[in-house]
Amino acid sequence: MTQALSMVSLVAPLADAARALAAAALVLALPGYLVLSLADTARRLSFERIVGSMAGSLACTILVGVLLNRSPWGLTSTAWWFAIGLPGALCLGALAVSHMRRGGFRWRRPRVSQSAAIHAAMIVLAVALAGAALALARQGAETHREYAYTNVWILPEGGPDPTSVVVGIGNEEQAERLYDLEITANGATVLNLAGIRIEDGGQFVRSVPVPRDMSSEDMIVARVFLSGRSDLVLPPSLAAAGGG
Amino acid sequence: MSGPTDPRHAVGFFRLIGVTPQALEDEPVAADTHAPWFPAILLAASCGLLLAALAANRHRLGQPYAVEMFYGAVAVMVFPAALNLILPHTSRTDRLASLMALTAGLFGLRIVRAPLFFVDHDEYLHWNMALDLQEFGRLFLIDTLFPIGQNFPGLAILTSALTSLSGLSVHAAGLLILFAARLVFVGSLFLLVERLTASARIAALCCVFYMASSTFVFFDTHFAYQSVALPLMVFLFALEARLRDAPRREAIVLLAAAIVVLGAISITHHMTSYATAAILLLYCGLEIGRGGSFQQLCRLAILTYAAVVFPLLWSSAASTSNSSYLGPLLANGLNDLRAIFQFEMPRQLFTGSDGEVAPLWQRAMTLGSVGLISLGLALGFFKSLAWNGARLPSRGRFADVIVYLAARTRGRQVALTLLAIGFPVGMAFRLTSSGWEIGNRITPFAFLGVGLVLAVLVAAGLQGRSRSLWRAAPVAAVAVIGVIGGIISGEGRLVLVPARYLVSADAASVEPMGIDTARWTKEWIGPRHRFAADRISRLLLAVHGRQQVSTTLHHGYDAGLLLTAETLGPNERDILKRLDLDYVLADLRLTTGRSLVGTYFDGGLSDQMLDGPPSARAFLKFNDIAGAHRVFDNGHAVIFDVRAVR
Repeated sequence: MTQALSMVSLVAPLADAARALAAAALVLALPGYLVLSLADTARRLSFERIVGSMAGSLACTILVGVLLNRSPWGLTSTAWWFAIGLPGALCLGALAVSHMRRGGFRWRRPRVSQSAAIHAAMIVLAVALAGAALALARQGAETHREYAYTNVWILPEGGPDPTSVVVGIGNEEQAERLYDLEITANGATVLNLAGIRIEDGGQFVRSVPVPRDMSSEDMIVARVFLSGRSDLVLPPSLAAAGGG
Repeated sequence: MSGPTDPRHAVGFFRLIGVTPQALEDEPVAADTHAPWFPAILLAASCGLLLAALAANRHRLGQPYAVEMFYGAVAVMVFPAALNLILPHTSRTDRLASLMALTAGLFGLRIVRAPLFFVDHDEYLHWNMALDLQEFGRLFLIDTLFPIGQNFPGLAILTSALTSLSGLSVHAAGLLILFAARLVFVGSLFLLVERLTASARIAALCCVFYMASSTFVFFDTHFAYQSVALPLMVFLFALEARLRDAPRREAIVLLAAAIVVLGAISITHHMTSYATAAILLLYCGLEIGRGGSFQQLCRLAILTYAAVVFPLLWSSAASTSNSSYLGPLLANGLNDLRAIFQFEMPRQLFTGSDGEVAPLWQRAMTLGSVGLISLGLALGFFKSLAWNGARLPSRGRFADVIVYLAARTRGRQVALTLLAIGFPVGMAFRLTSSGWEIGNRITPFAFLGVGLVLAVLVAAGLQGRSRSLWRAAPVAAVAVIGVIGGIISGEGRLVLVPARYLVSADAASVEPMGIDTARWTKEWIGPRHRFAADRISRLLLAVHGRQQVSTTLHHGYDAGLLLTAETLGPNERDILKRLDLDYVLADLRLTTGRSLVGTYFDGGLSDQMLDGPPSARAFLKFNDIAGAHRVFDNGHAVIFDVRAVR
């Protein structure tokens, strides 16, 4: 079972990547390629053909989108599959069959000269460096967090006549923290919790019943302190929610 | 002895102003598939990208010399590629491959700058539009953030198609589309100029010099409508150039394809569709002037007719009028321009709205870039106008030479060259405070001409047939200065995401805490609530929180007044009621400094009434208002529930 799961976890990203590549070809290359095939009898894949395929595809997809909007299905996933995915796949299949009938795909072993091998190595190195650059930038952006802060919130629960309030603390201090929480209703303490341990990125959420005798004019106030410190994490009375 | 009546004087005059048409050097045959320098140039582009990534990370950490390192990375990318493209004996394949390597490398800069999500103001507007389309599956929805954008949904449609079929996020799908569009742009420009000048060298050089446009590296790779429309426009011109001499059967298909592309441009971006129509009209005028064949004229006329009619049809179909959007922009820009001619400087150059001045080397680089381009235009404009691969007659009267040149000059090349006039016009607008946006819009079109003029100047003049690297190196250095100067004048000091948050500074104000707050709203209070917030917070609320934000553009009421007022008086209560607001988000960081882009809200009354940062007391006045509940606080951002107050 574990082996099967690990296989799935290995294969899943590859399948996702294959799907993304196929979709990119269907949206960004194939429609234009088919249109240009009508005009250009030369089968050679020239630079002009590649550019034309991409530009034509962008234009065709935009027009198909406008037509789909007029249809009852709109621009949903299913509609796109039927409008571009399926016809594209069928055309690809037809092209492949036509190519096979005209002699099929013949793999010719390329003659590799010494300079060609060096060039290939340089291209591989360049691609690897570009990949490393993008990964590095991503990692730098992910770890860049200027602010260390705590989110605190209080929200009424139970519709227009709340029967309780939800109080939450979200720790974004970039380290584990201990918090004290004090909730008062019209000045009387309703809840007092000390030493709430929350790891970095974690949350603490507690539902607190609203006292029965509260009116909508009355206030429930939550105050959050860093444990062991008398100063507040946040400005004084955090939030208020009326009772029913 | 020669006197003023000597007919040779006319030829001398044309030589003096740079009109020295000459046969091109022998270029390698197009079939030559040898590309010996491509791997090295690709490697240089990758090294440059790695250097840029290191610079971006250094900048995020606030370490010194990050920006200098970043521009060094740009130089590492551009210099070797430009050098290879300048030399006359480089094969077409090598030119194309080198050009594509450089294009990919420069596109990588926009990913390195913002690798996790889109960060620029306009990108957020289009991101929100794409998310709306993904969620509801319909076009022309009500978009409070970007009302005009809903009428030009080309980019959103493409994103919807790719996200639906691939399962990718809007960000990943958007990057793929933008990369494809960028390849189409450079590839089409190459093919267009190659067809017009019959020179792969001039075509490649035109593309390199186009990269000096202030919008090329970043602005035209934003997740925004012009990034797709502009490549389609250039592709259309390349198609038209091929259509001109195509055999009948091919011409029919090409004409149909061109009309499809025209339709797509009209659906995608208003300005580009107008520019396309204008350039095709210019083509028509020049073609009629030089007496082209009837068949060629007919093909061009059909295309021009479609280019003029499609935007009008689309505007009426989408029930939109762009005059209300573009009109004030143009009027304000022209007013500022008039002030310049009266020797008033409406905008302090190289100085942000917060008063910070750009470093000296950046100012020098930008001025150097503008100066060199201007010099190149002065030397190459007439050369490019008259360049036709033939020699000037050895003698002739003024009128004879004009007739001689007119008969041989290609109308389309003249049209593209004339676009270069947009460069000084765009620069003049960029000197103004409200017209810089017009200058920014003119630049991508003007550089089609600038690129061509500079390319002709280099290929037929500065470098000529010389294979000397020493002669090519200064020209390559000029290309580097041009590209770096372009980036500086386009992005200013916000070229990299800074270590610290900056007040109302678009990309430099988008950071994880603001995003976290917006996501909190979606998770805990649910989407589609009506929010009032500042310029940046509402972008985050719309995209990450999926909330309905109020804007003056859509609602006609300035919600900024609600935030900046010291007390909640009858006027503010009226705004609350009219906008039917549920929540107000007050970002207290706005009270700590001047806005970098000049506005905190919509640029309306609330901004005009402020002579410094808004006050924290005004932002927190809801604390003392009965019925207003402070439901969220993180010490920087506070959200008030104002449903009971309105």
